[in-house]
Amino acid sequence: MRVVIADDSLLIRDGLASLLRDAGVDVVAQTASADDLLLKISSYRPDVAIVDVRMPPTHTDEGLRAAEEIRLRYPDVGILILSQYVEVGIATRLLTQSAAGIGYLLKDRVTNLDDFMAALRRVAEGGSALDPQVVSQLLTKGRSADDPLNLLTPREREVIELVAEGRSNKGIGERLVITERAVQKHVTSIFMKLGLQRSDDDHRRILAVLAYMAPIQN
Amino acid sequence: MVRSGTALSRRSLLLAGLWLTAAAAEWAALRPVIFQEHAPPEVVLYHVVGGSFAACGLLAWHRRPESRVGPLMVVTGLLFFVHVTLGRFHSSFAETIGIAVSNYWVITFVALLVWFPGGRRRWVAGERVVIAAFVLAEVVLALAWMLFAEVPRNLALVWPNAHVASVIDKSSSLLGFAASVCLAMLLAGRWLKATRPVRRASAPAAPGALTLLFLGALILQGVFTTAQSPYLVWPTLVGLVLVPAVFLAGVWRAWAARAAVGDLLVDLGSMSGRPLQAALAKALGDPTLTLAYWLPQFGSYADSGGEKLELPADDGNRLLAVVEQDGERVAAIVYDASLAEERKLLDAVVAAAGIALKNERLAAELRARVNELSASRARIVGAGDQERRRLERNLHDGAQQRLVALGMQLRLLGPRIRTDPEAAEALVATAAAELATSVDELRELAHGIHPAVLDHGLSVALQSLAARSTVATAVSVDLLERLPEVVEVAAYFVASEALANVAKHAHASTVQVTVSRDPKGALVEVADDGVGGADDAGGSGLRGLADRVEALGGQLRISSPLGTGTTISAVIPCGS
Repeated sequence: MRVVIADDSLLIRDGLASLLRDAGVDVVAQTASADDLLLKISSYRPDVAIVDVRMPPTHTDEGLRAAEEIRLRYPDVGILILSQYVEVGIATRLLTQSAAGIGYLLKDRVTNLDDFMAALRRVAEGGSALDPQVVSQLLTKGRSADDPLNLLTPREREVIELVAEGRSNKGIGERLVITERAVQKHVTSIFMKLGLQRSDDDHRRILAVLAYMAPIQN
Repeated sequence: MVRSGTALSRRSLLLAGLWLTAAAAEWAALRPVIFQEHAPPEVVLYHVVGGSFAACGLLAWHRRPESRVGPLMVVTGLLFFVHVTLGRFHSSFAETIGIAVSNYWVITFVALLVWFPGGRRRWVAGERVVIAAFVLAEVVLALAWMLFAEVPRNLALVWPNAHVASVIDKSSSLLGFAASVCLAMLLAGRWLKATRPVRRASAPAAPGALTLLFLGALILQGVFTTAQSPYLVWPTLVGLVLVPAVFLAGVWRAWAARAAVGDLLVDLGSMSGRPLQAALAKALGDPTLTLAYWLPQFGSYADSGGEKLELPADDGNRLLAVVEQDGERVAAIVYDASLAEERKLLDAVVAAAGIALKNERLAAELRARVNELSASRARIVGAGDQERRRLERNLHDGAQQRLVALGMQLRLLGPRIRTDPEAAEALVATAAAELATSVDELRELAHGIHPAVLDHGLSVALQSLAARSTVATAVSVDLLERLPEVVEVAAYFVASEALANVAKHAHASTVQVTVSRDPKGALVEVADDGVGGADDAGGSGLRGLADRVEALGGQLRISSPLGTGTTISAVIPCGS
């Protein structure tokens, strides 16, 4: 797997590159700015671009705007946004068009290398990775008493959280130590209870769940 | 009291004497006319004019002693009598005088028209010219005419010459007519430009000006023919008899307005703000009246809403009356200049409104403080937001970043402990260094939020501050006991911000920080020997400091003359 890293902090960039190289990832380029990132992507065509949200010059949302640009010009390049904090609003902005090949994680997730690598791989293969913190923010926000989410069993809630993170049935099964078939049964039940359209496509599934949990208002 | 009583009785004596004089003169003028059989009515009317002026003038004088309108009317009336009564003496000397002054009353009448309704107004150039024209026509040319005119018992006749006398007479008449027309135009122009109270007060001058026009026309007619048109004679005479009464009515109306002060007193209890201003405007008959409250705290005037008010410059059209209560300035009333003549009315209204004004002023002051407070609160909130933003930035770019990196290094370290101990050792060293830096950064940040060194007392905290300062800083703390915590924190930040300013802008070589007790609280002073020229309008730092100090009820002063350094001093109250 070939990745490009964009982060204005040298410490993070180097640390991340070393970790990923240790894990067998081919870090083809590193950069500190959003503009340079686009150049690097056009020359290296990596599988994934790992992008920090805040970068020079304004240190606000340069990374997000670069991600949108990459999506537009190189749709086959996966984008993994890393940030010191995660917000539902930013997640919905990122995933409005499509969740395919998009990830949004806290920077600290890097220290759990196995999980991080799994997420990176999903993004590289066109799947999704949404930080658990975003998902729990979505699920714990104020809801009315008759919300169908309240009908879910504790196990089903665990499953829907993992679905929202972008994991496949297999990944969910491994995480919860249950069989893939059991996961499938839970997912079917959840989708029935919430009245969602079933989909075997992982990233369509995450969109349906996200759209349900955080309807995007236009 | 004794003096004013004497003045009063002296004036009463004067008025009584004038009444007697006027009555005697009227009797002397009228007696032969009424005892004459079939006296023409216009002749009777003519002999009443002087009495009308004198009587109405005396009444007006009595009502409004401060106004010149009454005396002017009395003088006009008496001058009117002079010619008529002196003629009765059958003495050449008396008649000569009588002829000479026969038309002097016209001058005082004109002055009355120009002056009415009075007030502290200046005479404009046009009015001076018109008055001068009348003086020329009725004094100078009249005397010149007497030098040549062959009339009986004219002692002033020097060169009898009928032709010259006629030319002078006609010149005088034409000049008098022209001046009458000019005066009427002047008055009309003044009327158009006048404010409402002035218009209303000067309304009686209108029939006066009309009468003057008829008189002018009558004089003009005399140039061409000896006959007098009844269409000019009658309006002139009726006008001259009635105009004093109209003037008197005008004076009386202004006097009656004082009754409105009574109504004002009744209403005052439940009145404040704009209604109070409206009530004053009504009582004084000046809708443009403005009420301004004096706010000693702010050293400026404000309206009832507490908004700062710039008083108009005293340009002769607007006047200012300062209202005082118990010797302290409470408010100011800005009013139309025409009200100056109503000094007594104004005094009465101001006195009546005094108490309500004092309460109102306190309310206005309160509103002004609330406005100032809201602005300061908004600034404090803004400064707080900015400060939190700065902290977040620092945390995000600093310690947080380092800790994440540290986590990554530990991750890298794990597998190398066994396989590559040398690399692992190097990684541990880097990680430890990173950790030390993070701890430093966090300490700095925490210090910015609240200087923990303050726990050891203000003196210690200020010493540490001085040690960090890039400019040589001496600290002197003269306190017998510790200050309340909020005061210590505020004092610390005053010193901290002031020292930061010194380092940035002052180009100073030494700074002295002094903390001492003051009757009003704690006094913090930071004085440098730099270039000066600092003000709180420029930077948000000093403004923010002022807000912090004022929030505790204190005051921040900046003295920064160019070239002699800057002294920032804050007095912070220490509670009870």
